[in-house]
Amino acid sequence: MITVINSTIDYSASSAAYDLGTLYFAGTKAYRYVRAAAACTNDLLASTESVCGDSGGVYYVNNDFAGGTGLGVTTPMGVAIGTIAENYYGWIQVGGVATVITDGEVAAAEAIVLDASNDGDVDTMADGEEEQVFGWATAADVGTVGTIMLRGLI
Amino acid sequence: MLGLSDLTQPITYFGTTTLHTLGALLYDSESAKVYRYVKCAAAVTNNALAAGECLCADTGGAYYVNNDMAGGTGLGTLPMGVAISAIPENNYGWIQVGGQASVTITDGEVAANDFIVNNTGEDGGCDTMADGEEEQVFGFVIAADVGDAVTVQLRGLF
Repeated sequence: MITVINSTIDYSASSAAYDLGTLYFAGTKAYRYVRAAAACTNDLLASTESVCGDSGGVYYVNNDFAGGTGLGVTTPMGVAIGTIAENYYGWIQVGGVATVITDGEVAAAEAIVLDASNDGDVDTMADGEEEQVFGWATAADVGTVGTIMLRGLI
Repeated sequence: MLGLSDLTQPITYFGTTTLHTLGALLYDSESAKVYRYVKCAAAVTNNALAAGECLCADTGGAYYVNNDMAGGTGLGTLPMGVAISAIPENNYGWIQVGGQASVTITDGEVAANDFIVNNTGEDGGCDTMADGEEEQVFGFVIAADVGDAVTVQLRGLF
C-alpha cells in the first residue's frame, strides 16, 4: 500500500513502475496497479470501462467479458481511469465512487455487476448473480454514464 | 489513507463541521482496523448512531449513513459499516469498515462463521445471510452471538 506516486494517476507504460497489484490510496479513492491483457476489446482499456480478471496472470485485467482471455463477469477487478494499451501497465480504480459505462437502465441503489453482453460495461445485478456484485449505484444513470460505490475489490 | 497521527481529535469525536474529506479512509496499524469518515443522515433511529450499530447507506448522498434499515431515507440493503461511537443526526464522524468489529444488535441467533447482512427488520442490527442476499454480505461471524452482541470480521466495505 502506497500513498505517493511519481506520475499522474492515468499514466501507463510498457514497463512496470510498481509491483503488479500494488494498492494506492488517494483521498476517498483506492487504485490498483495492473497490466492490460495482451488482447483487449478495441486494443486497449478506456477510461470508465469496467474490467475483469484475465488468464494472463494475477492482476492482469481485460475489458473483454465474453471472449478471448478475459475471465468475464465472475471476476470483477475494477474500473479504468485512463487509457491503458494492451500489455501496458497502469492504475485502475478499486475503491470509492467511480464513473462507469452502464446499459442505460441502472437505477439508484441497485447492486452492480459486469455486463456479459457489452464489453467494458456494467449492468444491474440479476437473481443468481449476487457473488459478482462489485458496487452499487449512487444515483440513476444519465444515458449510459453511471456512478457507483465500489466494494469488495481490495 | 490517513493514520491515527493525522487526527486532531479522538477517533470517536463527532462534530457539525467536517474535519476531513467525506469518505476519507483511516488505517490503524496497531489494531488492523480501517475507518471511514461519514456524515450521519438527517433522520436516524433514536436521533443518533450508537456504538455497535450496523449502518446502511442513505439517500442524502455518498458517504451519508443511517441506522434506519427499513424506513426514512436509509438504504437498508447497502451496508456501509459499524458505528464505533455516537454520532448525532447531521454530524460527521468515523465508522469502522475493516477489521474485527463489535456489533451490539443481532437477532440473537447468529452462529460462528455465519455470513452477515444488515437486518432490514431491526434498525442498527445484523442478521445471518439468507439465500438470495449474497450481495449484501459485509462480514462473517467470529463466534456465536452472546445475547445480541457479536464480533464480525468485516469485508468488502472499502
